[in-house]
Amino acid sequence: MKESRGWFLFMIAGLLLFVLLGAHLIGMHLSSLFGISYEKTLSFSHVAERSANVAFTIFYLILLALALFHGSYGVRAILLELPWSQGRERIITWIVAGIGLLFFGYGVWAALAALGQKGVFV
Amino acid sequence: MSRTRSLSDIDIQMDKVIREVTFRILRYNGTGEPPTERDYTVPVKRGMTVLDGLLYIKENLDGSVSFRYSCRMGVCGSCGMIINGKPALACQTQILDLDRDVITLRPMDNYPNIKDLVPDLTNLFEKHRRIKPYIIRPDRQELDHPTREYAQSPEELEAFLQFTYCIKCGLCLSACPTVATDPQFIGPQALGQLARYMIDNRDANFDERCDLVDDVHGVWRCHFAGACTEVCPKGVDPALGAQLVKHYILKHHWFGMKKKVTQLIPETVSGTRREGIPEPPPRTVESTT
Ligand code: SF4
Ligand code: FES
Repeated sequence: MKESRGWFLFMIAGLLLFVLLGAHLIGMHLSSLFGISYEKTLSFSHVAERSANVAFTIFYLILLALALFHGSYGVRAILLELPWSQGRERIITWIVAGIGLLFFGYGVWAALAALGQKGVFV
Repeated sequence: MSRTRSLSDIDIQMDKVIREVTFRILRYNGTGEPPTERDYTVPVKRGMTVLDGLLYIKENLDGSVSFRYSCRMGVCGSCGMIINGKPALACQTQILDLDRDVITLRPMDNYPNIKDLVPDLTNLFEKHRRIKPYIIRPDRQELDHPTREYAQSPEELEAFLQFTYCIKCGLCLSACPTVATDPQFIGPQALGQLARYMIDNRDANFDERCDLVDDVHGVWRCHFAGACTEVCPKGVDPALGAQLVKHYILKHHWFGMKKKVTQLIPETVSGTRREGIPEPPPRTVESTT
């Protein structure tokens, strides 16, 4: 793959993260602006209620995918600035991508598990 | 009554030693032994550059000090070195402007060292060669045996003109933090020159140029630190060049950008003589051609 493709997606992911993370921060930490108390936002029942909501789950899965792609690409870029052989560079790319996918898989599993517990939580 | 200074007064002023400055040079003998610093005292006159100081040392104190120079006027790009911690041209740095009793000199960073202040610039020239720094067009015959000029407006020339001032001194690579960690990074000098040919509307090789530095050690490793532009002695902005290259590659790969290439100017239309115009007076000198 040409490096420009990855770099462009990295930039787009960064821009989208700016919006989605902003929404997340406002929802979690500035919720008092909307008349919801801070304690309530972070209470277990509220977290459970959110986790059982499909729209929230999709929102956080997108956020997770973007954050992981942006972060892994950045870590790879830093690592590739060290003097490696070409073979090692490819291995680094695969390792970083593998770790990213692993985290994403774990996130998806957790999100789906929370969704599946709907009956228990709410 | 005001006293006018004669030329000989000025000569005396220029010849007066104004202060003594210590040149602390990092000496390296090229054998792999660790480099060591050596001090030389240089009597400084008005107008003396660091290169003049080095020549004074070579002629009067120690003939074994090695450094590169040629033009002595900021044109050949040979005398780049680290002067008081900053990459600069020795022939463009006035000693009195530094206003220090001790001037430290060491070879440019990010290059292997051959001897004393002489770096091995092979890397710089290889990177420059990689971006194909010449106009490429399908009309090869016209390029080799030009019959007319290619049309280019002053605005089209202005768009890349600053990049043509590069003298390949290599100071920008020496200042670049990315080259310091990734020696394979293509570097600011080559990126500035690539921008130059991507913009130049006489060049028809845009598509291939977009692929030349689109790899892991290519243009995407530029973090836009801007150190290259800061040290460039010719006022070139290689950091801008790198961002322009990114811009063109993205536009080409994602949005199918194509370049508008110029053509030869139309053949000159031959004039027709109007009736009734008087003949010019006869020549007063013989033509030499
Ligand atoms: S861009 Fe400036 S600093 Fe870099 S090689 Fe050219 S003249 Fe020297
Ligand atoms: S001697 Fe030519 S640039 Fe300094």
